[in-house]
Order: sequence, then C-alpha cells, then structure tokens
Amino acid sequence: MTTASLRHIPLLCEQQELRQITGDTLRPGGLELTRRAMEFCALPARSTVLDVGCGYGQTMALLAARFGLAPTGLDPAPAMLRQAACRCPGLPLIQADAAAIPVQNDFFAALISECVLSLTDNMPASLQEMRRVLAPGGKLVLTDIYARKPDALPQAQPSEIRSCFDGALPLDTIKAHLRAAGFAIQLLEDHTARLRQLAGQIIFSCGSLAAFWQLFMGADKAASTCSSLATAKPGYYLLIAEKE
Amino acid sequence: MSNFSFISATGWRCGCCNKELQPRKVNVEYMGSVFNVELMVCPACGMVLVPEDLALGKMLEVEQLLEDK
Repeated sequence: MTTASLRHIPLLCEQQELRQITGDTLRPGGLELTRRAMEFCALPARSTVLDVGCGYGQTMALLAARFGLAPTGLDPAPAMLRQAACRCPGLPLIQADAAAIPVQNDFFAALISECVLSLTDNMPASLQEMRRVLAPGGKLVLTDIYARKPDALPQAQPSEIRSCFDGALPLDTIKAHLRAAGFAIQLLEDHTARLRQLAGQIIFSCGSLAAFWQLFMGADKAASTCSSLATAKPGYYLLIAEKE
Repeated sequence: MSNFSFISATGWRCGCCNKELQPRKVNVEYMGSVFNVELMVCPACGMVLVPEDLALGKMLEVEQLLEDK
C-alpha cells in the first residue's frame, strides 16, 4: 500500500469514540507525561516549542499556561487545528506533516511529539526533519507506542483505521533511528502501565477491547486485531533527546 | 461510543439508607489503576453496587490485561 493511499484511511485519533475515553489528549497518560517531560527539560520561560501532532491543543495550552513557554502547533488535520485555535487563541498553528515542516532550520528550542511518531509514514525521515528545525542543543520529547514483540503486530496494511500500533517499532530500532538522525538520548522511561490503564478504561467503557475495535471494523477483523495486539504486547515510552 | 453499561434497573436499595440506587459515574481503583465506570450508587451514602457480571467478567478481563508482563 502506498503512502498516498494510506492517507485516505481514517485515523483512530480522529475518532470521537476515542476522544470520549481519553479526553482531548487522545493518548495514554494524558498530560501527566507532558508535565514530567517539561519538568525534566526545564526550559527557560518563553522558549519556543513545536508540538508536532498538536491535535486539539491540550499540550500547547499546558506549555503556555503552566510552563510559560511559547508553543507552536503543527498538525495535518484541519478539524483538529480549528479546535486547537479555539483552545489556544493567539498561538501559531501550522497545517503540515511531520516529514515536511515549513519552518527554517535551527528554529525551536524544543520539539514535543506525543503518540505521533509511529503514525508518520517514515520514522527516520520524520526524525531528520524534527532535528532540522531544532536549534543546536534543542530538546526532542517523544512519547509513543513501541513493540515489545514486533513480529506479532498486525502486519497486514490497515484498511479500516490507522493507529499508532501500525508503525510501532522495537525500542532498540527507535533508539538507532534517533542516533542516526543526530540525537543523543538523555532520558528513556517505560510507561507501559499507562497504556494498560487506557486499555482497561476501554474495557469498562465499551465492554471489551473487541467491542471497541468493532466500532471501526467488522467483528472478525476486530477479533484478529485484539489477538495480534495481545501477542505483540505493545509498550509505551517517554524519551527525551538532545540535538547533537 | 458503545452503549455498554453496567447500569440496570436492579430494584436494589441501600441497606443502610433504604434509598433506591441511581446510576452515577464513579472512579474505581483496581490493581493500582483508576477507571471511570458508570454504576448504580446510593444517592445518600454513596455506596456502590458492583454487579456480578462486572466483578466476574470485565474486571477479570482488566485484571488479565494489567497482570500481563
């Protein structure tokens, strides 16, 4: 399946059913991991931060209000950007893809991307682009799904819905991509418990994980997706790296 | 969103308050995680009814998920 055709498949993070469960952050761990990451980075007030995959703007609002930073949001989805504009009036927003950021080199003091990198079509290219727009010594903050047993992940190209599970890679591969792109890893924490927490909430909200997936696909496909994910044992990480 | 719910017209009344239970969203702390679940609750004292299908069904599924290493 080509990149172009993948773009026509709806994203899980754009579905209201997920939003009703996660709230506007649309990811495991909500804003807690965002706070944890920004406290670690300890950026000076008014530092410029690019939020790649800003969604509804929850993180941007936190960065501005709680940490006194100057966030810019980037997302390919116009509907999400419209709501981010309402939540964060006056803050700059860019409609673009992570692999082609329309910003000059060495611009941002930090870049944050939460549960987005594995959704991008080409992780190494996205990391290269993120590095390009970061100032020397700039911080890269990532939270995302990773694959503990990648061979078991659903390998068939998604036809009904795209999610972070589709592009999840082993942690060692992600670390290698980061090093190849020119980043030095400063912090790496496992937060798989937060992914399990979200899965548990889905069970309580929808009746079962299969019932949740059936909101987007047929019963047989939902059952095989559940089975594949149970075997693949996806995990969740927080990673902070510095542009070398 | 799914229509799944643990709410049902049970006819249960609170043993302490003799009030009819009402549906309410409650936070359930289970195995170190907190979940938001809609359950039948006493409107006076807050006592929560955990129905059998929740205790033996969904909680078991969540338990297996949380214990998964």
